Amino acid sequence: MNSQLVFGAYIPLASPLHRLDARAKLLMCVWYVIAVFFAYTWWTTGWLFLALLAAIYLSRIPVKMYWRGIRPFVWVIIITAAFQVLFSSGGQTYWHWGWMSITSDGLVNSLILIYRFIVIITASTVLTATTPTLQLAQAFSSLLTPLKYIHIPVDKMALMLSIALRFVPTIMTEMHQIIDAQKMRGMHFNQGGLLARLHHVLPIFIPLFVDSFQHSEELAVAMEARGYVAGAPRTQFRQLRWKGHDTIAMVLMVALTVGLVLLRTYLS
Amino acid sequence: MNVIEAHDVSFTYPGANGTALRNLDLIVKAGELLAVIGQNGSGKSTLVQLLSGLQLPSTGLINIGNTEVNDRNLASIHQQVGIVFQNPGSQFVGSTVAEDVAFGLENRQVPSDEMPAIIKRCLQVVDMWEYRHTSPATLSGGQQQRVAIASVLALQPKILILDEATSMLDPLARQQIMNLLVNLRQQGLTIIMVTHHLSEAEQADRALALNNGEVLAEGPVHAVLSQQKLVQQLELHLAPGEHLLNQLQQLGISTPDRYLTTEEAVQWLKQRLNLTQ
Repeated sequence: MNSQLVFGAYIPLASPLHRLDARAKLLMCVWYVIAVFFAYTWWTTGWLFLALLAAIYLSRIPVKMYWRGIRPFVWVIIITAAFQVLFSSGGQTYWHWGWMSITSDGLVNSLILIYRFIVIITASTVLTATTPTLQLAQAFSSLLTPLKYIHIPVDKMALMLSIALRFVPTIMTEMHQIIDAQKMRGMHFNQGGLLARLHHVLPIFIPLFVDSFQHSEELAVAMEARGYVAGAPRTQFRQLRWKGHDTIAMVLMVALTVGLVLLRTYLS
Repeated sequence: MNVIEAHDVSFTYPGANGTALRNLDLIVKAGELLAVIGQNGSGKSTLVQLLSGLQLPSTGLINIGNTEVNDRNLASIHQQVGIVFQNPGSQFVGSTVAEDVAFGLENRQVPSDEMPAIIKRCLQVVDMWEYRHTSPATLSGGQQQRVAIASVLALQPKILILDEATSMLDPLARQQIMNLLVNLRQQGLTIIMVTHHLSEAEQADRALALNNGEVLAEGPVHAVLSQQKLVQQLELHLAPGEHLLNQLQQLGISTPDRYLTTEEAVQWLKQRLNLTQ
């Protein structure tokens, strides 16, 4: 098994979640993410968190590997949460300086923000780790089929999505290599203030962008050489098949939503 | 039978000052293994792109089988020519090995129920069937290139082109790819291989040496590689046998004038040392 699970990487296993139809999983993920924005009490957030734990268990992928998926986003989460704490108002004020303050509402909002980041990233990782990217693209294309009638290039968008997800692990690996190379040349990423740290990001992202453009150019040539023509009709290796367990999964999502509504109504 | 005929082909990249390839004439026969050698910037990759229809000649004519390479025939050219590139990591679209092999078949609109048999056959040819459910990103470089070859073989090309496909691999993986290519040639596939390694080029039937966009030499591989000045000029990676003979020459020991493969060099050395086994 890949020991470097990152956001977007597919882990081939024979778990109940792997067996679900990609459309069911995509619908469940989108549904769950929307539901997350309706949860802001201990009960509702806990309810959705339990559902996520169940999904993680059913994926048969160890929890520590999901943590590896979240780890690259830790700084983004911390910085966003810090802004939320410092620039939110309302409730009891604990500290105040100029236009910055720490209030009880700000603290609660930042906690909710951290929670939402973590559960959304993890739910997306459950989806991508249990679904091959081409199947995900098929599901995307299948669910958005009606948009084809208003000339939206759904198939192209689906392939773009699939390739983007397919390249996430590659780009992450290259980013780690660039960071290691910069460290070897004396760069200290953990030193200095916020601005200094942001400044350190530049020598990582410039070579990363260069590499990414190189990859995209090479991939485009390789795809063309293998007969890909944008917009041309294609057959599908994996046929999406909706089965009984997919319907059961959707029923469970309805139950999850009903539970969320009840908790919001009676235990808020 | 000629599968490739190129007459007086030149190519200049848009906006470039110099010509990348000048007045090239080339004939490749069916079932032949052609090694294209030359320094970086000699025009090897440009030739590959022209032969596979990824670029069109500025002047001159290229025929693949009976099809002229032009913008009207690109689909037919892509059906006849398969290409494996240098960087294995940048060629994969699928999230599993089987899905990646299927990508080209999907583009060709091969019916879904026919795909599993084709995928199985091609992955067995490159000895990667057991990895069919594995993510290509987790494979070694040599395994990735074998999958890339399987993905191309699935499309049943008449000509397989490898553009420095072994340059990022370790010696063992390079040897595995070479063994695979020799097997494929024995099955009748026409192969064009761009390489910097003499140990690979020596396994070809013919060699084409390019320098600054022009043909330096072309002919049977031993005849081309026996031109020592040419080999030095191209700065190729010497095969172990050739390296040994060069060292002996520097010590003043006379060695054969013609190019010897590593096996031939070993035989020659055994005779010189009067070894019977």
